[in-house]
Amino acid sequence: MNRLVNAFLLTSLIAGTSLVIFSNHWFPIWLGLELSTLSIIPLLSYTSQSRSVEATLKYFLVQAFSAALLLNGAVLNLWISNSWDVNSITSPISYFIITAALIIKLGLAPCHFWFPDVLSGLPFLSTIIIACWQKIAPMFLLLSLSNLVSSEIIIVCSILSVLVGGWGGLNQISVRKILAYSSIGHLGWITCVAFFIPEVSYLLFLFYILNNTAILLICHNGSLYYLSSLSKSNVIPITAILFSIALLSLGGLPPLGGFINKVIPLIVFSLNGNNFIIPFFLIGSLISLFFYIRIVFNTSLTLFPQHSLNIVSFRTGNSSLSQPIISTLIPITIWGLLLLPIFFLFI
Amino acid sequence: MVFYLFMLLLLLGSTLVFYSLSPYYAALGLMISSLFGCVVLTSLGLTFLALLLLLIYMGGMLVVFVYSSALSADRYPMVSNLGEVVLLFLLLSFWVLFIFEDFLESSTLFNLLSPLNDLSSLSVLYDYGGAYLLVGGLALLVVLIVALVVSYGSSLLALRAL
Repeated sequence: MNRLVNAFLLTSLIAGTSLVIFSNHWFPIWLGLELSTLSIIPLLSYTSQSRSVEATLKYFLVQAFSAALLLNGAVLNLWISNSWDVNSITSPISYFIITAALIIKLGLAPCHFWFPDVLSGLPFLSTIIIACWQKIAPMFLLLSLSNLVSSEIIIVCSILSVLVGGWGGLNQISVRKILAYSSIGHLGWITCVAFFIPEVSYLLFLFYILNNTAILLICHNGSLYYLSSLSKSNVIPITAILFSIALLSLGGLPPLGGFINKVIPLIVFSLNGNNFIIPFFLIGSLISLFFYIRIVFNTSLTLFPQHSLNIVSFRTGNSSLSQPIISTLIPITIWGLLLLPIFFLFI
Repeated sequence: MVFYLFMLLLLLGSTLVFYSLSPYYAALGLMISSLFGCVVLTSLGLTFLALLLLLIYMGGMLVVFVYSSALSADRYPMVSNLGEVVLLFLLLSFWVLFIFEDFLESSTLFNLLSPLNDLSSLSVLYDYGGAYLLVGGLALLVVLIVALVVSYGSSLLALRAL
């Protein structure tokens, strides 16, 4: 696509998300959400392949419907409380409609069905935009609304998300679908803390975004679209090791940084006396750990019969731009657990 | 009572939109519902909004919608199920009538000769809400460019796969 148009659309994407984050009137929030949806449509569909076009169409329909629902809830709130202010959600019905719209936008269960379909039709760089950047605005809204009205719908949807994320990713062979279900599960963990301490959710969300971006960039480098291509990938050896570490961190294994995403919610739940929901989260993340380990197993722990010169790749030519970004993001997965004391500022 | 007739015709228009088999009848339903929506707005005293809606919606968006549905319609369409549409509309309106019967006894005052209630808040849109209007206009510029890029695609042929 034309470079100027590309730059314009990326700028308006960033502008749309910033408009959502920095305003306290519902109209620019709706406008920013629609702007970010519209400006990535050409970015997703410019290759004119039928898979990308279909994924773009599904994405646009879901996001447009949920933005209209959000505006509907905002106008209903205007009618009831006479204010366009975000901080004045008083009635439960308008809160419910707005939260439902944000749950559809984020891809939390039970409104998650579009997410694996959309992600599996797009190349990896577009996947990064959909799975990481586009979640910033609705997540921000959801967490700032949780500051005002605490409702149990978030807990129910997050428990469903963790279970769906675990069971949905079990029988998949496409890496993008696996990462989609892992994203659904992680968002379940993050949004459940929003019921108790929403500020902590921002922290967990940031961790999740950085981890996910690193993994998706590594997959983009090695073109790891299916499980069958994992063992034949020609990434440079350090990236292969870091990929396995990043995936295990995403699964939440203790000495790695992703364990923060699991231990902080558990501490928050048990400090609030809400021990009942903990088994659901543990079951969901245990099942999702299985398919993370399956990817790690196929990447690093199996060696198919091949020529010995293929095992170590000396060529680093195709890494170019994303390699420094990967190298910056990966240390968070390795030493992230040292950042755990930040959490104790919020208690 | 006439007020409720206008709202019923609005309901007829929207029933035509979602229940008809052919997109031409759906566009007709859109026209009917926007026309009677404007009439309802006028009878509440909001004449400027009604005229605005009529001009922009019917004069702009609906023409584009009719052209695009003419491009994308089936080759041998099933033309109309107007009987079923009217039957559904009658059933819906009688259902509402029998459940919410009380409103028929209350009197609604029309303010056809009232001062224009919507102009005072319209001025706020240009005064304090000027930034929102500007951002809305910029967003529409982005929409224009997106529509052009999507319909031209990577080569300069019209109406690509999307």
